[in-house]
Amino acid sequence: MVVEKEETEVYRRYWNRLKKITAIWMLAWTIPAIFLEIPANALKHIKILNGIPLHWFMAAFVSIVLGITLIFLYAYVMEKTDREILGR
Amino acid sequence: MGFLEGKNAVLFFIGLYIVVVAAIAATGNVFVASAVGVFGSLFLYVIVAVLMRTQVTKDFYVAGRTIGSIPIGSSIASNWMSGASFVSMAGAIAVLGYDSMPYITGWTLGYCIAAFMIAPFIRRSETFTVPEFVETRAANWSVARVIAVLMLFIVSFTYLVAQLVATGVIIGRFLGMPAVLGAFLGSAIVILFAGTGGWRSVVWVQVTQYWILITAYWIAFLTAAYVAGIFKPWPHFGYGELLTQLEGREISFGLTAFTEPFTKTFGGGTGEINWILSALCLMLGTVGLPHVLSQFYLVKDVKTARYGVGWGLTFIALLYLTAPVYAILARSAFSSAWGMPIDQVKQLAWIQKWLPTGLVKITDLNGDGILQPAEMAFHKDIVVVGMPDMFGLPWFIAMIVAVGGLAAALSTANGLLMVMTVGATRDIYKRFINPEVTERREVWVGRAMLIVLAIISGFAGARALMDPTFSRYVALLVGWAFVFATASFTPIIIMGIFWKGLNKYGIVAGMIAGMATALPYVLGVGLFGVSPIIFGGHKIGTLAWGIVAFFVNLIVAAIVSLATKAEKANPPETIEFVEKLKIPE
Repeated sequence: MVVEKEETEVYRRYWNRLKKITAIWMLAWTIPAIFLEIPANALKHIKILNGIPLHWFMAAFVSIVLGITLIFLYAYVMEKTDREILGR
Repeated sequence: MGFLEGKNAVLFFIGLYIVVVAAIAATGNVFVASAVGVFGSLFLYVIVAVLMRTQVTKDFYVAGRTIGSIPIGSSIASNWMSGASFVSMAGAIAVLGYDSMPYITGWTLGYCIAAFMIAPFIRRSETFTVPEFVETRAANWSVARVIAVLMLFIVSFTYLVAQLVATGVIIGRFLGMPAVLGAFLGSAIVILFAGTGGWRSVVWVQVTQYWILITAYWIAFLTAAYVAGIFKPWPHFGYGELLTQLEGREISFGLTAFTEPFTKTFGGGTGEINWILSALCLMLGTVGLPHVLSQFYLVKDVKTARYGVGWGLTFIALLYLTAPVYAILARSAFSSAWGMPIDQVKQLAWIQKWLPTGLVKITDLNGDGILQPAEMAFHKDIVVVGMPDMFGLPWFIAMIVAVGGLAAALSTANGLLMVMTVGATRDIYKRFINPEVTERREVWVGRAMLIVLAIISGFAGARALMDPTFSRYVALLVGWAFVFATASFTPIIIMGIFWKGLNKYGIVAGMIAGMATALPYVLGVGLFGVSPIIFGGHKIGTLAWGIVAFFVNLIVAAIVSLATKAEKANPPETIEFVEKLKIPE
């Protein structure tokens, strides 16, 4: 009975941590999904790499690479959390 | 069997294929080499499927839940990237410029949502299908499953028809075969892939197809980029000068510059708000599509699900980051003909080759004998299929592109057909008709369902190729699938995982309310020409409206659940199910 109680306590802690991580990562996701694109009208005047307008490069390159990075970071952090709290 | 088993055998046959095609190509027999190249690739996939054949339901439905993160990543990517992604996306960007970018961000960043909020939990649920997940979460209420199955069939079927059309067009274009025959050939081939081992075969066929399609896309791209001189130091960063040149030419002909934002219509709307909401709808819709969700069942464990989605998006990005550069290369090739005498333009080798196909049209509207931008119309497919000719690349590049396009169309068709087959077998036959069925019989019923579904969709694909009106409806439905997924599945799946209080009344009410919000607007604006709602001077198109339907679903589901005692209305086994989702195995 005592063991079971400890286990639910561990699970509760794990779930709370997971919810926090999910919230942080979903907030971070709004950067490539929304916030890099909103200033398009201002960024279009900035040219990088010999003439690529920055607003175009944000949508065509930066946002997606950022998205990939976020997923791998999430997988890594969750793997660590699994080990730390659940011991697996 | 020894050596010729599993991965070794697959690699052996890929090697054999390349050697044979290269040998025939070296003899200079263009037509034979193209035919062997295209049909040989189909044969290769069948071999992979046969090697992975099975009689076990768990293999048939979910590939035994054994797939690792890099294979599932490749499979996620080829399952996702359709014939249209391969053949038409770069062309759509070449036509619309910056205003088409929601395709790029919208069809990629949805996988972040999948990684953070859906894939690991779907895998942990240990259900077999999305409708089964929905029913289990809705306290085993069969109504929820029936609604989910219906959605699955409508979305997957129209999608599959579109894939068979693409297959028909590609086979037709490169082998001079009637496209209708090509569509039937496509559906027959897919039966072979999926009938042998269900998902276990399909997933490995998809892995093979991914690497073939991405290699093909990149070979054509890199050679064209080399000829165009944008290796400064690498095409994805080196097109600045080319773009400046292109936009200069556009402005001197009185056009708006290629990258000028928010000047054209996207998804029936205009302006920045429409642009942002449309992209979000594509992202949220992606993770509500049954054939996307179904991939998350196949992985080894929760950890693999998380990394697998990461690899999936990486592999998708190899194509999606390349398409915008492809578009600029093509547009710059078109624009170099502007201002030339029309007689001279018609002498260009690639124009001569593609003029008879109707993918390029040249008409001297003002009769001055000089080509104006408006006088050259091009179909969006020509950007990828015609690129080898525009840059005068050797003939075998065109064949490689055909093989890649075919791999892209077929890999998506496989996945769709499997989703429908599993839906028909597990969610209808086993659930409602014969729950006591033996395992062996169940796999055979699955195969029978598969053949019936493939034949029906083959006919629908042929019809779409012959009847432009029917074809237009298919294209519209494919576009709307994202709105419907955003309005129905996505909100309740996410809420079902993260909120114990969501109960069966909330689930069904939410899905109905979401669809009731989406459907009239989509039909009105998309089909019957009703003018869209204008918000802050920006027209809200059908895609952008999906976001409104998403929130209606979310809010109605929450209110109805709360009004029906929320968590207390869920039986203990549903609570247990939600608790299980939270903790990895």
